Order: sequence, then C-alpha cells, then structure tokens
Amino acid sequence: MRAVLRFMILVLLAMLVTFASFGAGFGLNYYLVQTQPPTQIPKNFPIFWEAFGIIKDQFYGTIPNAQALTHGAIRGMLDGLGDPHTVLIEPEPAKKEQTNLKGNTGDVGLNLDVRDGLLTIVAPVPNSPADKAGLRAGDIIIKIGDKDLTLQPITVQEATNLLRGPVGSQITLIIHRIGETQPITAEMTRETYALPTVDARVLPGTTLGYIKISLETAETANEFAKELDNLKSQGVTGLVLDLRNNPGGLFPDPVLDIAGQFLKNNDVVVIEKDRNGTEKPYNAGSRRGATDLPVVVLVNNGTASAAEILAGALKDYKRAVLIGEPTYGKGSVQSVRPLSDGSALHITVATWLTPKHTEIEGAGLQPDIAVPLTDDDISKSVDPQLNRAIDYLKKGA
Amino acid sequence: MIRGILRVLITTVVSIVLVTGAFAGGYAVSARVFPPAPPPDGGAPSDWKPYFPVFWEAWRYVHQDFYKTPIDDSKLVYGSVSGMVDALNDPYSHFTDPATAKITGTELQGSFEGIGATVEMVEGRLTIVAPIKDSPADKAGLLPGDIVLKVNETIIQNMDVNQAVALIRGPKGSTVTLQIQRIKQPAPFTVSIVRDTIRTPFVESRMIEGTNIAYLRLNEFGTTAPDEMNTALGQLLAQHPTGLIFDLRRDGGGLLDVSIDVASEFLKGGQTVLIEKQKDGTVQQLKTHDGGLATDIPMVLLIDGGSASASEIVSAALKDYKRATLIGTKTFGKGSVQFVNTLSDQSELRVTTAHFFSPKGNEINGVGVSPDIEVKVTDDDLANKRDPQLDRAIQFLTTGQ
Repeated sequence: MRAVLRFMILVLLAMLVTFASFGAGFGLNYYLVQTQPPTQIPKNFPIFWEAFGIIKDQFYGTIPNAQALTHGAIRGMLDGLGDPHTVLIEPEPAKKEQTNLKGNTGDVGLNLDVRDGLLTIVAPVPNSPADKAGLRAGDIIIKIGDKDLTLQPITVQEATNLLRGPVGSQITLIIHRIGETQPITAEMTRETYALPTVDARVLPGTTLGYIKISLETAETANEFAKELDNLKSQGVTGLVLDLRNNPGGLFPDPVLDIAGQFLKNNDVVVIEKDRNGTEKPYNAGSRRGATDLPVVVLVNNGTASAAEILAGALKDYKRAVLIGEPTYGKGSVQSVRPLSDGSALHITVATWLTPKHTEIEGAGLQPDIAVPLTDDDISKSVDPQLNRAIDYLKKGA
Repeated sequence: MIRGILRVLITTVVSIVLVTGAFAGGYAVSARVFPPAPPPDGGAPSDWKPYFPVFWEAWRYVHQDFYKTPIDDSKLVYGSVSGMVDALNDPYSHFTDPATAKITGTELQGSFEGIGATVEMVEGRLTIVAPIKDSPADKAGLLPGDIVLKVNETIIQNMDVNQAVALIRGPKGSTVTLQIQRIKQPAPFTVSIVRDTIRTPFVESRMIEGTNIAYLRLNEFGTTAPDEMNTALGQLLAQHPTGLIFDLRRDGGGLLDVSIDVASEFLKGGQTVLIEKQKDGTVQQLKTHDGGLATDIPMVLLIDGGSASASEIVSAALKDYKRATLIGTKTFGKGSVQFVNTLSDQSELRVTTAHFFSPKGNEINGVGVSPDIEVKVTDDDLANKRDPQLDRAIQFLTTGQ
C-alpha cells in the first residue's frame, strides 16, 4: 500500500516536471519569436519595387544582378541614417581586407574619416609616406589613383583598401585643402613603417617633460608609465602631453590607464551612451604616477577618438589645460554585425561623452587656450603651440 | 547500499531524459504554433528572392542597434531606392524623393525661384559658371569661377549637383547664405542673397558689330526655346545677314523634342536628326519638320566641352549634313536619353532609356562631336575676356575659310 502510494507520488511528480519542462520549452520559443523586431514592411516600401519595375522596363544599359542592387539598396538605406560610420562592407572588400593584412603589403600612413560625405584625413602617421608628402589633418581626398571620389561616396574601409598595395608601388592622391584654390597632387610610395610608440624627453633649457604617445598599441600604457617614472626621476616640474595628430586607436585600454596616472581617484574617464540613453561609465586605471604635476595637453584637429577621450577627461577634471585648436570630434562606437551573405555591417551603437557630459562626436573639444599653427609656422619649423605650453607651465598662466 | 545508489542513479537519468525531452518537445510544438516570421520581401521579384533577405537583415540590425532614435523609416526607404539606382552605375539615372522633386521639378519651364546662377560640379566643388544678368546672384557680385563651399551651414562639396542646387533654391523673398571661395583670395567670404523669381532667357540674339553676321545663342533646350528661337531668327533674318553664328557652347541640353525643333530651323524637312536605340532593340528615326527659317544661310556652329546632350544632337546632325562648319572644341559626349517617371508618391525616377546616334549612325555617348576647326580658349583668353572661337567664326564667315 505504502509502496503504491510512493509510486503514485513519483509518477505525479514526474508528470509535473515533464509538464513544466514542456511549458518552459514552449515559452522560450514564444519569447524568441515575439521579441523579434516587427516584421511589418515599412509603409512607403512599395516605392522600391515600383522603381525597380520601371528600371527593368526602361533602363538602356545592363542591369546589375539582384545581389549588387541589394547591396546598393543597403548602402542607400544606411546613407539615410546620416551617420558616416554606419556602413556596409561587401563580401569582396571584406575578403580583400583579410589578404591585405597578410604578406608584403605597404601603406601610406593615413588615418581617415568620412565627414559631410567627404573622405577626410584625420591625421597622417608621423614619418609615414603621407607625412613626408606634406599631407595634413583636415585635407580632403578627391581622388585615389584613378578612382574619382567625387562621383561616388566611399567608406573608410574601401579607401584604406585602395591606399594599400605592394611595398614600393606608387599611389597618387588629389587633395583639396580648404583655403587653397587649386587641388594638390601628392605622389607617394607605399612602405611598411613602424607605428610610433612613446616619445619622451626633457625639453631643452627647461625642467619640463614632453611626452607624445600613440594609442594604437596595447603596450603604450606600460611604456607611458616607464617614461613618466624616467622623467620624474629627472625632477621635471611640469609635463606637456602632445596629443596633436593623434587619431586614437585602442579603447578602453590604454586610455583609462594613462588618464588614471593624472587623477587622484578612479574617476569616470568617459561615458558610453547607447540608444536607450543608458550610460556606461569607464573608470580610470589604478596607476597614479603624476597626480600633482602640472600638465598641458596639446590638441589640434587631428586629435581624434581615444585621444579626445583622454583630453576631455583631463580638461573636465581641470587636471590639464588644453592648448591648440579644436579637436576632430570623432567619438562614437561601432559594432560589427556579420550578414548572412558574407558582408558585414558596421553600426554606430553608442556615443562618447566626457565626464561632464560633453558629446565628443561632431564639434569636438574646444581648447582652453586657442593657439593656431599657420602655414608660415610650418615652413619656418616653429611651434607656437608648444611654446605657449612651455610659457604656461613656467608662469602658471 | 549499492541498490540504493543504483536507484538514485536511475531516477536521476530518467528525470533528466524526461525534462530535456519535454523541454525540446515543448519548444518544437511552440515553434509549429508560433513559427519565426520569415523576413518579408515586400513583393520581391523571384530573381531577387535569394538575395533580398539580407536587406531586411541589415534593416533589422539598424533598428536594433543604431544609437540615434527614433529612426525615420521613410527616409531609409528613399535612401534604399536611391542606393539601388546608384548601383546601376549610370550617372544620369537618378532617384529624387518627393520633397526634393518639388523643388527641382520646374527647371525646364523657364522660371524658378532662386538666386539665378548656373553652376556645375568641378572636381567635387560647386562652381559658379555664370550669374544670370540682373539676377540676385549678379547683383550680389558673384563671379564665374567662384566656388561655393557652404550653403547656409551645409558643406556641399562632393554633393550631387541637384541636391546642392535644391539647397540654394527656395521661395522668393527668403534669404540664403553662401560661403564663397574666390580664386586668388586667401580666405573664403560669406554673402547673403535674397531669392527672387528667375526667368531664364533661353535665347540671345544680335547682329555682330561692324559685320553683317547674325549671332544666335541657345542657353538651354527648354520648353519655350523653339518659339523664342523662331522669333529671334525671324528678326535677325529681316536684317539680311550674310552669315549666321549659332552658339551652343556651355549649353547642357534639355528636352529631346526641342532638339528636333531647333534642328528643323536649319535643315530641310524630312531629314533624320537622330537615331534613337532603345533597350529592346527598337530603332526610331526622328526627322525634321518643314518650314525651317534658316536652311540656306552660311552658318558656323560654336561648340565646346560644355555642349551636351540635345546640343550634341543638333551639332552631329548639322555636321553630318555639312549644313554648318563646327568651330570650337569637342563636345561633352552625353548621348543618352532620360525619361523622368513620377512615382505614385510623387517622387521622381530619372532613367536612361535610350542612346542616340547621329544621322550617319555615329555613337555620341562617351565620344562627343568633334569640331571641323578646333579652336581652344586659354586661361589667358578668359582673363582678358577674349573669345578666339567667336573671332574664328567671324573670320570664317567673312573669308569663307
């Protein structure tokens, strides 16, 4: 009798568990289906097929295949967002990107961005072919080799592919520089060049340290710490941190660590704000190398991305004075979505805010003390921005 | 003891199997009842079916991930159509959304509201070709060669020329601010211009001073151009000129029908002006009509790289029939016909529907029409306001060579 009861309870329990599991499985699928975005066709989408129907009937030339037209449609849709960093990378370029990374590929050393539909130089890499050819931050590229960029817009990724090629090969760029009436032609030979790391020294005739860093390698944070110790051991009384023509690079490291060197706590260095308005703070690293040393940060319109984060944090905490020109204003985060046909979608998913909630994307950061660098200065090899920084650190104003 | 362990083990295994099985079963049943919605294709033709789902995949990701909300779906759809049309790789096929179409639509009617300057894109820079006489642009002091950097706050370099023009145009009485870069001036300057109704004269005519030669210029093959031409020609011929210079330089074309009317003034009736080939192989010969006013008078036609489309039709026909001597430089080489479709939501789709060929069957597209006598205009000529092409035409008509 007891055994029967026990058996029945067991069966009942088993049945209950089975039902519950069935329900859970059923519910999971239901949840997955329901949380998909609405699959309704946008209201005016019929226009798309109406237009294609007309093209099919009327167009004189050869109509590209449906895949090429679909990619065109995606590119156009993304253009409609008005964000230059949300782009489609088609399967072919995506593959070429891969092969370019291998083997004997040379480059000219340009950090690029698309601004107002124009392919713009953020900054040339120091001592790269582009730098030696005299290209500057803010220059607009209108032609790469035979490819006329005025006819069709181009993405940064496509441009980078065009600029790369075998070491020793030539590439010609036509540049438009604001203020110049004639386009500028720049011929360069592709090379492999080393990314600069940290350049640190005591400025001659002063007790001030000077550090110029690249944020493109993971090693920078350690090298920065080493150079900072080195300068401190030489008894520097102030520091010039040169972020001019610094396109940024890796995020969140090494920026958080370097910012922390100057701050007293693990303060917020940058805030990432997403589409829901959710703010995700990034805090400073734990090294505290120079919390009291007076600092000037040099910036210009080639200061972009992670370099703007660093400059913005030090400015907001009044930990440094920014001298130079307004920064570039590149402060958004992209994520990559692989698509089912082998292409990839780069989507801007968030934007960066400085600790005091200044948006970096767009206008960039304003210097505390504006000092321009003129063509005349460049030709005479004088650096009024650095001179102003030295002056400021000596006098405290 | 061992039996106890065995029992626990069996119970555990049976439970796991039951739970997993039931869960999977539940999921499977649910998937049948609530299937994942297939990506909609919105009516894709069958040859698109394998490729188009990736569009909706991208669409969905954008709506899930993109940082700026809300997203304007209708803008994305117009962008999509535009992107598809651009993928045809034909610079003359073009999609215009309803709002923009409304602004640019009146172009060939002879009047519009704007500042009154003809412009073109030169290496991605919007360049003033010429301000129309007495227009707001003229009164504001704009000069040929000025580069427009910004319209209000929008940078317009690399922009589609129609889009840039749409920004500059606007209702009469409103103000537009342009940032201008002028050659040989170090810094750009800003000028504010009040828009007005601009009437573009299609035709200019006069007798050339000190000669007995008539001069007739067509700026654009617009709707009223044939009537204007007819009137002007009548007035010129009444003065009994010994020769006629017809100037199609910098005339970017216009309406195809008008080119037939224009050619008919100089050629006898029933002659083929152009051969039009459509995509399905249909060949159509368009012929002159009777009653041309100037079919005999010795004639020079002036052409240059800015003579395009309808201008090239007339040039090629007059050349093939040896009706005129062509002086200047090679024409642009746009030998295609566009049809402007109005879609159901009032957006516009301009599609290249045909290529045209000269009466002798010569392709114009990508080739252009070469002059009989080549005369170039140098920068020096421009700076000193000399016109060697016109001078050569006068010489030709005066001396016969």
